[in-house]
Amino acid sequence: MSVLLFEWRRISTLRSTWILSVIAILQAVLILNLPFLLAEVPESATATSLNDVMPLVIIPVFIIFMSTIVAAAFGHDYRHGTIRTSLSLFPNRFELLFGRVVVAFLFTFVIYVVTILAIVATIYAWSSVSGGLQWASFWPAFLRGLLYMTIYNLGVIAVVMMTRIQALGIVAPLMMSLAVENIVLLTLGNRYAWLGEYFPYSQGLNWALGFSNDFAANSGTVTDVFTSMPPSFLISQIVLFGFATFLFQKRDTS
Amino acid sequence: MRVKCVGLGKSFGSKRAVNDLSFVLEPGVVTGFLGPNGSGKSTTLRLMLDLDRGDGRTLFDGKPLTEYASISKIVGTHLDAKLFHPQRSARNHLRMLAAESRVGNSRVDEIIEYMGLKEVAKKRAKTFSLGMSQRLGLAGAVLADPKVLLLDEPANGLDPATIHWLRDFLKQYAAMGRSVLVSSHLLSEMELMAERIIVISKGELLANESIDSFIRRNQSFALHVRVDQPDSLQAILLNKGIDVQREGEILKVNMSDARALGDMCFDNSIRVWELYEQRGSLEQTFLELTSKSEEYKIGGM
Repeated sequence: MSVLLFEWRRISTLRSTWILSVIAILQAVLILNLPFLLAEVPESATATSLNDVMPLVIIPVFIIFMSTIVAAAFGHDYRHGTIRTSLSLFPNRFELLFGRVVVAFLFTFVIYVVTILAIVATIYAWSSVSGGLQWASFWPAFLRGLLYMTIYNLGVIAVVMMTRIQALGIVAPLMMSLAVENIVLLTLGNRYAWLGEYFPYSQGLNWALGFSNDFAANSGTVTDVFTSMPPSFLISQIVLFGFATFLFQKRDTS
Repeated sequence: MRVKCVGLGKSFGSKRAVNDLSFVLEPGVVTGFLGPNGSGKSTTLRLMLDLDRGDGRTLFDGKPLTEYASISKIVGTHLDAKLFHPQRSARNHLRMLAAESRVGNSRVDEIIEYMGLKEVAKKRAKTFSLGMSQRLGLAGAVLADPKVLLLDEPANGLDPATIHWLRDFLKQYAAMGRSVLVSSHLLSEMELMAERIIVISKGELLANESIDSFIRRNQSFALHVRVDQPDSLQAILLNKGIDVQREGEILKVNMSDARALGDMCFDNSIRVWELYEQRGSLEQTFLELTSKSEEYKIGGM
């Protein structure tokens, strides 16, 4: 499909795509290495295994860089008016949306895999680290990070499509995850304790970081990754994206 | 390719920007698209491409655009001089557009050369002047050799030599059986470039015809006459309800039939010393026609 090639050339011919990707990989590797670099005797640093550290390395910071790349898919087009160029080539709006989402998500998937490989290589480089890789728990951790990133980015792209503001697509989900929902919980949590279970972003983040009670109890298998996923997170992002798609189909480009 | 627009319409809030606009673009012809600022030209172009959602439909050889496999081989568009990412190089911008029609890099390089962009092909588009940006926009429009060209103010910012080149290029392009629609404010240029014109004002169609017929039909005071009894002739014409203006010895008569005016003078024993048709320019005729309906008039000093 030509829309996929078009999108690949769009994303790959921007310098910012590659700068953000390299920074995302480097910061993840650097964070992982900090305990070893800071310890006087590296072997004495706390032993670690990939499934323990990976969500912490990947999720909080890495996701910001990836969401910036995803937000740019529509953000650049609206900022520079090039949405008219894109849609005059692909008047079937669903086709353009499909190509854009697929390529942006595939790209972030590849960067995610490269980051994991860089982390794995680092762990092997510190060969004396006890624990090392525990492959049985590797795949659930890998999948958990990937699913969280993909679902989160669905919300990011939806916010940009609805508001046509790239920065809002990056900031709004981040603020919801890190601040807004927590503040609401702090103020209303005593009276409405059940509220926390339905807050999508904090539920999603807890699940991704392995802080979820359900997940901790069943952290062993790939199936558990799916069954422990908070429905409010998944459903809210799908609904958001569905509404954004509806608006994208109906609205003018100007 | 024949392009047929039927009942195009668009409202912004309570304002009707384009109202029931229908016209046909014939192959082999450069059609000028004229109208005062805010008359709905750009909105019409966006409606034709389904970029704005409105009423009506546009058919390309009887089919909507979405039914074609490769759009850029059907219609090439240039809607704004700055419709590209400022950080992307000119060549990468064109390679990106080429992906839709699977046009190869050799064609991209050919167009870059043809448009005189070779020296700046690897430079980021944000460094381009308006003229260079226009060329890049045009390069994108013709990249896949489309059957229809829709261009919005392509001559803005171009130097005289490039405007001359653009005029020849569009005429040649149309001569190969393609349909070309060009909107422009450069009316004198349009007169040299286009064979037909579509004129709109306040979103409504005012004219859709050849430039000659447009001028002839809308021109006031086309006949100029010098006679021995100007006062008498003026009175006779006014009696018959024909507008007439006096300028020294010359009477400017709002008639198009020189023979009828000559006969009228003969019947009234008025000696005619001079009688000729003053052909107005497109600009003059356009301004006369649209002055009444122009929404955003410039105030006097």
